[in-house]
Amino acid sequence: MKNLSIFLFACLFATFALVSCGEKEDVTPTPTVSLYERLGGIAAISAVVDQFLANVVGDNVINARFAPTVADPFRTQLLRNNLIDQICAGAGGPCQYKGKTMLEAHTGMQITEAEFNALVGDLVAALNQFNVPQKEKDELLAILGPMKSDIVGQ
Amino acid sequence: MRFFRFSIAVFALVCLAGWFLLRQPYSPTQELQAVSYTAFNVVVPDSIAGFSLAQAARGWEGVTASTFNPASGLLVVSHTAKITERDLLGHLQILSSKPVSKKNFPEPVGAKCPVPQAALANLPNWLLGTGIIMGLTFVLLSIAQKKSHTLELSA
Repeated sequence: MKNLSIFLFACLFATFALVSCGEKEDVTPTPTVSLYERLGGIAAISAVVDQFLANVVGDNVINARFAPTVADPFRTQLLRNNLIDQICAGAGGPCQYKGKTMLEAHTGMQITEAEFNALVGDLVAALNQFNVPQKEKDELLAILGPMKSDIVGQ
Repeated sequence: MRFFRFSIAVFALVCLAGWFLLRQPYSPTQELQAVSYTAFNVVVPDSIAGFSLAQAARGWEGVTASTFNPASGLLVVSHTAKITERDLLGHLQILSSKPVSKKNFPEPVGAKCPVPQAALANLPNWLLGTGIIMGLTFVLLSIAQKKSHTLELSA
């Protein structure tokens, strides 16, 4: 009887030990830092957007599209803030995108594939200038990539 | 007087309802300083000189970004109100031995909305302000009327 008690106690102990080992492995926290935080927050995103828009204004392929916006300080501000909000919200940040949908904003503009590619090139150049790591760059472009169908040829 | 108070109350409610419908959710971008993008035509011997100019501009107070595009010959500076276009032009002319000029982008043609966009964007704030003022006026008028009514009764 005594032996049986010892055996049962040992079994119980072993079970607890195994379960707790298993739990320990499950509980180990996996760091989930959002893309927003990895990019450096709102200050870093606004710096990248400023550089991106400066690249766009200097780019002869597409700057004519942005000329009316650049000529109007209010529209410039609206575009810049909408871009920051869009990237920030897409990257899991605390921003709220308040602009039109991409389809609404680009309908009737007949944007070509070449113009879209030039825009992406300007964005990549801005990200490169701030030495954004490849992983974060890819994640960001993956967020913006699906918007292409709503922008090109509308 | 009663009709006047009633009208003020209705007006205040309409303004506050308008603000509630038009108000925008808060976003940290509202805290950011406004910037302008100014493009300059620069004549440089090679693209390296252009990139150096852009690099130098990045160090000036109030400049948030700058770039040089060798294909267009444009040097674009993103800047806050801390530095004016005139200051930028002056600094660039000092650094560059060749003349620098501001690139003026063509104004949009066609029909324009007669109401400035900035005014439209500020409409929710105007509605909130007017609603609060009208609401306070209503409260003050109500108190004043109640007081005068009490005085009449006591007299």
